[in-house]
Amino acid sequence: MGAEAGHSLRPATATPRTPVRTRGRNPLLAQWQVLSALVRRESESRHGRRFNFGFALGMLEPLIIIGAICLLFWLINHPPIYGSSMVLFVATGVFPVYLFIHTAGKVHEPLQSAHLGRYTLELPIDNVVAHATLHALSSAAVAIAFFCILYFIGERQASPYEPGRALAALLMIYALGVGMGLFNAVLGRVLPIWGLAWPALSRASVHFSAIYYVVDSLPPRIRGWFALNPILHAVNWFRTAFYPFYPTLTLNPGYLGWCVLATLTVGLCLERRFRPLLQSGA
Amino acid sequence: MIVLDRVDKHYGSGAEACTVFQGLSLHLPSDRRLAVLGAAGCGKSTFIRLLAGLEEPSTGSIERHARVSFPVGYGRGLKYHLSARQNLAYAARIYGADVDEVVGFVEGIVGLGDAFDAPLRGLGGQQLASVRFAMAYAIPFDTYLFDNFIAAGTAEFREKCIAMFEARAAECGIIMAVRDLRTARRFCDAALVLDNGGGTLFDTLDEGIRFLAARERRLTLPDAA
Repeated sequence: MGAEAGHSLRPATATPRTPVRTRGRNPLLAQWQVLSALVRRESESRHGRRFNFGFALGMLEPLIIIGAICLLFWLINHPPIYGSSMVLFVATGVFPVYLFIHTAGKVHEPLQSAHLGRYTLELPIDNVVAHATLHALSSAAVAIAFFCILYFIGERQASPYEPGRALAALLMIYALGVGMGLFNAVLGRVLPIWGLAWPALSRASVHFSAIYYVVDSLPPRIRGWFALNPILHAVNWFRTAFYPFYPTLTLNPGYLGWCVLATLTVGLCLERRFRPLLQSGA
Repeated sequence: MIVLDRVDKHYGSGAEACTVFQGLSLHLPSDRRLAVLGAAGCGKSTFIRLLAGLEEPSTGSIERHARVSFPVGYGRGLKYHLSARQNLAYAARIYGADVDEVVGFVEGIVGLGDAFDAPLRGLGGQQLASVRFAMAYAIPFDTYLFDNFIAAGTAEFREKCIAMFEARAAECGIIMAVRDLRTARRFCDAALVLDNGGGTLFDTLDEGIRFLAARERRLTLPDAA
């Protein structure tokens, strides 16, 4: 036997100490072990590469968009569209919209066939939860940092006067993103063209979500159509937490809530229904 | 104990449909050295994958009253951009094992040196195989599943694998899909014979082998009468 000095060939716990045999039996504990281990592992990688804190890198995109829009309006010498700061106005639009786009993308990622390798204890849905959790944490960190910096360089309105409402709006748009991501993952497998169309569609939706205009200043005829877009409601809701007199003709949190409930339900049902297909790697 | 209740497993649909198991109901012992026998293509590997939970039955249910391993040597859970250490820590965590113990044991047994902390994608085939097998043996389970292989890698490492196998088998259950009866005779003492979408359990390996031989004789030499 080629036993190396100092290493017994008996596996670590071949004689299980008492806790080992009972550990992991509790389903809640087992679930927690899987999820916490996944979050830990995924925080060390991004898109299949090893990269510590890489999950925060995606946050550059909204910052670049904010910068680009502000630069454009500054170049054409346009006064702030609402309130006293162009940056704050654009940021209050871009952050919720990108929270939606990126959350949907993050949830989609672990359900793609390239990421299907897994152990017997983890289900694809566990990977979804882990990715979504990490994304929520990194988004929150970046948003808080961004608005704090804005506040400390003198833009006092960057501190929401109703933080609870700001949080509620972000949570809703986040949940909408999770539901949409699940929905996309299944639809993308059944209908591959959707996987190509969605990123383009979602980025086009940026322009219909009132990032750089106030939707209530549009003619009522068009506004009715814009009001169908749930992301727009989230943006308006988020803005009312910063601007006490922000026009709220096109704001119905109830409508947003129903949209969230519908996408989450449909997304979860589709995931369950098509789980064998999602796991098959086809 | 692993309880299979009216398990059906089929692939495809319509004209291409293929049934592997039909109405399979079994009480499998989780503390024996059980050989899963059967003719080539009868679904031995599928059976192991079902027990492991890598596939779901088409209908019916599988209840595991024991902590059942992934098939020893299984590598699809590994992330190749992460190091062996990170992968092992992850596997130990999700299965509720002691991380330091598992990582330390594997590190000692595979002898990778610095490569232990390099991304897996830079490792050679033998090195990867040794990580995969050592990982499965290092994590404590009640029942270990095998799909034909109990060892891999260099000759020296294969010997270590057999030693680890024996150490585990002394305390835990084994369920092993085997193609060749010599392997079954060497490592197993009970048998499950899969045949025609069903399965029969035998308390001793010899009974199982005799049953299998009788089945095959009947297939190759049909009775003249």
